[in-house]
Amino acid sequence: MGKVAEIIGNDMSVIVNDELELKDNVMISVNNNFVKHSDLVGLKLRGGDVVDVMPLPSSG
Amino acid sequence: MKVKVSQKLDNLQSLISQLKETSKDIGEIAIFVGAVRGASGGEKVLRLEYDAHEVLAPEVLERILKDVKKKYRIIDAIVEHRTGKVKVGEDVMCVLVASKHREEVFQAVIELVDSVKNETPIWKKEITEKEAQWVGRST
Repeated sequence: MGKVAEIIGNDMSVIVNDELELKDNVMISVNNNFVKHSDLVGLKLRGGDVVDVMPLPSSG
Repeated sequence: MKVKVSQKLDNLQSLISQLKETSKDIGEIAIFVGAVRGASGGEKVLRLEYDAHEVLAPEVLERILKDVKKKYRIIDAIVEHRTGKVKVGEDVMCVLVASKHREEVFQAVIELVDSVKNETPIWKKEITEKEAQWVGRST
């Protein structure tokens, strides 16, 4: 999480709360497959995996 | 069933024709069109800018359509959403639902629009005279 914070700086508040926990409405995908928050613990990534951390949608 | 996420929406009349071609049982078509408002929070809006997850946005839309089609037993539906810069007054998204009877088309349109707004990985940046900010990011 520290590395992510380095990259996105002040926008970190978009994906985590004050306790640095991932917000419930944040969507995570690995290689274009959604990952449930409950499956994040123990998730193993390989080199080259693409992880998208996406904030609350605001379409329409 | 058709979903599209791109810089341009298809012509509404051609979408209606496409739906009608899918079944002779269609008796009702309900349409929702979302457009860019000229003001937000008392400020003049210049434009909106939409960004979407290229792979997941269409996938989510297809899943939403399938779920709603099954739930309300509609005959067919189309959802299209724009990306990129959209000026005030321009159309942003359209949802068309076709069915035998009107009761289910209205319910299906409402659920489709709500689901598209809440679940699809598409984000908008609001550009006003004073500032530019991503909508809903602090929630």
